Amino acid sequence: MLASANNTESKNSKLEYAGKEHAVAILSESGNYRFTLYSKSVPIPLKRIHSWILKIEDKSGEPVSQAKLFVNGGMPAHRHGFPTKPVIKKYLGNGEYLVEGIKFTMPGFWEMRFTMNVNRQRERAIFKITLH
Amino acid sequence: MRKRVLTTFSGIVIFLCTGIVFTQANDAVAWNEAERASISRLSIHALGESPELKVNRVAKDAKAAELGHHLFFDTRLSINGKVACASCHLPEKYFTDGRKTAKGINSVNRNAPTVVGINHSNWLFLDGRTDSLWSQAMQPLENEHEHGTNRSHVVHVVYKDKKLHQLYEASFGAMPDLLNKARFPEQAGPVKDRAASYAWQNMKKSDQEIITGIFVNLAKAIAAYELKLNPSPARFDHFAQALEKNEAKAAEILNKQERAGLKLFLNKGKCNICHNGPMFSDFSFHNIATPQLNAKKYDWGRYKGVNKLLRSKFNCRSQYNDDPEKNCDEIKYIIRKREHTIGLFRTPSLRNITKTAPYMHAGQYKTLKEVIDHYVDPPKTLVGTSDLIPFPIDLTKQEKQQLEAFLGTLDSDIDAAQKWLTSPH
Repeated sequence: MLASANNTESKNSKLEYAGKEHAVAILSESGNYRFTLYSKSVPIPLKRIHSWILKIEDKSGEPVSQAKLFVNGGMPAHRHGFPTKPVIKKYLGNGEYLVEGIKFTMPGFWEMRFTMNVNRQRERAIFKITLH
Repeated sequence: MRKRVLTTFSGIVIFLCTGIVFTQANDAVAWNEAERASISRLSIHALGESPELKVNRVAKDAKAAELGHHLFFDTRLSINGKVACASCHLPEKYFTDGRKTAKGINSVNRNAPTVVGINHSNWLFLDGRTDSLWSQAMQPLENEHEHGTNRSHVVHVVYKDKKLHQLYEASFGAMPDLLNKARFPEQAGPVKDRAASYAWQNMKKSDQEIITGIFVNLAKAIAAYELKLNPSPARFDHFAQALEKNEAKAAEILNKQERAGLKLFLNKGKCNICHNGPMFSDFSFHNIATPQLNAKKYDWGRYKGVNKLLRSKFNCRSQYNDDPEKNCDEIKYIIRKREHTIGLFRTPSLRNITKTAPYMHAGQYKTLKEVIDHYVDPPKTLVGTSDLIPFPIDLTKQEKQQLEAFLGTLDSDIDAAQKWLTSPH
């Protein structure tokens, strides 16, 4: 599902992001790429390190392969980042990347921010995640 | 006339009853859905399994806990025969020592945290320089300021003591023959003491490994004992349980001031940002601008803790970790950057906080009142960036008192048989 045109508030569903069937898709800030994200662990765990899957497609729906990606995030309201240093090192094929080292310390509103360097341009996508 | 009096009296009764119902109704609507969820997550009944159970094969072994109990109180495990684990972790002081900074052989620069319930943390020591309870137990023994001894000495004490020797073998199997003093000197270890260090360097690597293996086992036994020490449910926990079923009943468990304090804890006081989860701690690291003990020699906290952890031969990745899966993700994804780790210390549990004064990593504050004042008016941090800057907290004098009253509802006994709370000697 395409959650929004450009990083607007999530629907705040308890199932959002929990597994592939509840993946959330948004457009990058330029609108040129679609980022789809979901947690491999269901339900999304608290206080435990786990992995997520990020899929990137261009406007025509073609998977973006071997992109250089960075991830960070945290709780904007608390102005702190993740308690870990998550990384994206593995390309899984079909435009999918493994996001490792994610840990949520508490329920509440979190952001996961992705930056992709492509064609000498920086593409950003920010996912808004409410954990219950 | 009599009838009129009765009617009037009945009216008063009805009024009074209505008043009571009204008060209860106020209590009933006092907690919104988010607050109820937070209260439920803070309850001790939500406490999960200790991470130590995976990495320590004797974590639940009764004989190992008994051995650990003996070792915890044994002053022979120090260079001067006067210092035991229990010297800084006194049962009568909720396993702290009441001092600003701990004192073993010499003074150290940190406050002695309680042992009770600490088995639920992934990180040990205030800077998280070890990642298991057992690897924590090793360090004070060989620290020149704490027990000031060395691993060979510790191993030989157990080897020569009939009871401890038997307890060891009941949990870990036969102890090797250590009678050959040329191979196994009584004072040897990778420590600062020159003679012991020299003796250690002259030992064969295979003999060093024998001593280290036994030393690790003894630390695992101490951890097995420490796993026995957990807080009992407190009044807050009874309140949290009651709130799920019967709000009126819950209101009888905490008084008005304490309930107001809980509200502040969850909302205006912003305490729940770090003091969350059933132990009232995220067991993570924060810079809260506590005054430095020594203006010339800052305590860098987590920054040095991370470096020590990664260099340690006894961290999660070591051969001594008993978890066959060796899930060391906490190390794999650890934050190392200086700007993100400098001046950070582990969030303490607030359970039984009234019993563990003085407070902060170096006992900077004598009372909880001073601690609350610190959050309301924090000083400028001398090291790194304070996590408190984005969170100005404005509390009135009355609100501070309410918050302190709430913290008192976290008082409880230790959930362990009396024999574990006294010396076995």
